[in-house]
Amino acid sequence: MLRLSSTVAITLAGLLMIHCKPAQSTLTVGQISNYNANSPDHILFLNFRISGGVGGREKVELLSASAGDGKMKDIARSVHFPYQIKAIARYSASAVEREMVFEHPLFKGREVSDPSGHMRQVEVKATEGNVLIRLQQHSGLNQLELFSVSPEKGTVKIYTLDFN
Amino acid sequence: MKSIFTTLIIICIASTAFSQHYQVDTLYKKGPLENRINIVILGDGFTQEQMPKFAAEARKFADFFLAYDPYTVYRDYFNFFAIRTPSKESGVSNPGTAPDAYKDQPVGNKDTFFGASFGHSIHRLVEVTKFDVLFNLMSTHLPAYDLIVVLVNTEYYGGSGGQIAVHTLNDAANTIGVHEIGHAFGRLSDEYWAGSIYGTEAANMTAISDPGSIRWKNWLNSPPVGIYKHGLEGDAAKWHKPTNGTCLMEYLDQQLCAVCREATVERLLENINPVEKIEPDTAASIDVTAGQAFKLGLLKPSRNTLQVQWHLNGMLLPFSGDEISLKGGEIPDSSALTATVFDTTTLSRRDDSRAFRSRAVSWSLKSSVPAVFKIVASSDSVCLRNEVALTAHGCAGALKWSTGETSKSIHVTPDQTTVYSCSCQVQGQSVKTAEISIHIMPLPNATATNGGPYLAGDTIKLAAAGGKTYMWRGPLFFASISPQVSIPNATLNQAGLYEVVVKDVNGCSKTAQTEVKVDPILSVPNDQDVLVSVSPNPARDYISIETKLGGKSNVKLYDQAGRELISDSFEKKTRLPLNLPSGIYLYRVSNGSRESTGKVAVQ
Repeated sequence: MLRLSSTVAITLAGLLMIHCKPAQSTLTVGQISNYNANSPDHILFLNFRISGGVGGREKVELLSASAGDGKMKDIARSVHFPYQIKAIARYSASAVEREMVFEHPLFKGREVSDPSGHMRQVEVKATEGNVLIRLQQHSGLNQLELFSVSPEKGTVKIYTLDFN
Repeated sequence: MKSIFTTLIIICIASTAFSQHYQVDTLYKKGPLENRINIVILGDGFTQEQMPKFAAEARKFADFFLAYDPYTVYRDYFNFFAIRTPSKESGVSNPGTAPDAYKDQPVGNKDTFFGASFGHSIHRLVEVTKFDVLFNLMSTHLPAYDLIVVLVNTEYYGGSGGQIAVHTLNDAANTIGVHEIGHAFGRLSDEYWAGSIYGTEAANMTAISDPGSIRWKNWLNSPPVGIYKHGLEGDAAKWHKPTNGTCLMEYLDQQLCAVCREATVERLLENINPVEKIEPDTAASIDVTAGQAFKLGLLKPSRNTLQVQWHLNGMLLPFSGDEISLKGGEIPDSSALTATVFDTTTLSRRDDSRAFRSRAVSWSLKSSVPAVFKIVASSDSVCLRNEVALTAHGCAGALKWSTGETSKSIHVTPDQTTVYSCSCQVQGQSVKTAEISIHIMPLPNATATNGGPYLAGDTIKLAAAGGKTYMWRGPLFFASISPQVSIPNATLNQAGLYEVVVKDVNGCSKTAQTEVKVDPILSVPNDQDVLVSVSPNPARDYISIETKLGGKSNVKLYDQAGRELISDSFEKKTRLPLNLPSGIYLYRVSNGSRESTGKVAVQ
């Protein structure tokens, strides 16, 4: 049931987005699925599909968004591979804007181990992948900007999600 | 257009709503989600009939994790949950296309919940593919999770890291999850050399190699912790790690090293507050006229290292437990009671940890006993350049310090013994004034010297003075607590800055340094034809230097303080006039990359 609804949703989203600007979209936070207006703390789950290439050539699509109740802790794995997706939440009111750095789904480092306990890093390339962003909603949140980071092109803005 | 687009987006997002609910097993629930690290274990490739197997494997991993040091000490700081998500098919997809694919493993696709698969080009790289399914599941079932581990239902070895730790049920694969949590939670670097792009400053990786300032300097006296280069050449030689082959961040069959355990514990104590309950509530003033009990509910490590200190109006009380009772009729009005909780764990040797992670709870007290206005100092006698906290107690009105400040507490750093005063103005009452004298003790007159310069093989002699106790540190992890130190058989690596912390009878300390120079001894080949000859020795008016080495040679003469006195270039032979006081001098003769040094006595 889940897989069916997801497949349908992804297909529908893809069809709907064909005629829309790929670099910008708008989301009404209060209408995100599972958004509980009575909860004091909201965590937004945003699933982006990335394709096209690295270094600013990324095509970004918001595949799904949902919300949950609660507070996140500041626990996130550091990303050292030079190809990254950087996300910055923007606020209408004064708030600390913190960068969130994610692995680039099209070019990333992966740790491979063997049963003897040895490990090594390998480079993994893909033509399509997902960036999963979990975001604590603070008051005044009005935008989420995504940037492509690469040694060749530096930091290039690739997507803006407006919240209203 | 924008509104249409927005609507369409909302429709499409709404259509992905995750309506189905799956059973969440609570493996270990030790406390509220907001004050625990919440680890969620997911399973892939387990069918409905195999859910009991998944539940057992999830508990097995949780127990494995919680038995790992340092997590075992802080096992009550974690919650563990498992979500039962049955797959249509049992097992895992195996494309069988990688060169390192297991020959006996069946090839084929499996219809599983998260679409886990062995790698196409690197077989052991087992990853989930249905990220949208995983993400939606977490948003509806445990949105406030902290870490996710996915168990893949196969005995073949494999796994991967990243935002989500994935590994199979192979016995050797369990540590993949613990290693990945080391990255995600402890922010630890790998201790194997992963490549130049992974060179970064972290708790267990640094470009700094100075024993006195390296991140893990407090562990250098605890073998096997040391300063190890990641490699002998290139970028690997620029980065250092605390252990060599004995840490989980380097080999999966090892435990976390002391430095990694420290980083993990610090992260844990940064995120989790050991004070879980406070009685009575601190929101309002507590009337202690008839006496009152105060109690903390503490989250204790398995080896209870929590230390509680109680202060009444800034004065330390002789109680150290979780609970204290104040008798009625003794506590003045407008008093303040503070409980400070600090984890004294020896798993961390972080400097200033008490200041960084003490948790304080304060109650305002009221009483029928008249308030006593006074100033309490954190210490009334301190070493020069040390800071003192002054706090005014027993004032229900406006404060004004002799420094001009008006807050309840101030911090001062007097350079001489100083009297501070504070006034308390309560409306309708006369102004009260309190005073306190802060006595300043001078720092010791610390000195450090050495008898160099030395030649390789000499005995280095260090001397410190000016205090009662001494703590030396220097190159090659040198440490000593003696004021006079001898280091025999000096090597070139032992040259450098030696630092000594000199502490006097008052406990005041000052650091002094001395630079030790060690020159190499003959480094030319042991061949009679090319040896350098210096004569006469002892010398009076001149010395003659002769070599059979071809080409240009250089000679330099130094005094014992390392000052260069004479310099000359020559071929084969030279004669240097001497107009020097009697004493021992050092010469250095170089020819290309070859070098010869020695001592010459001048009479």
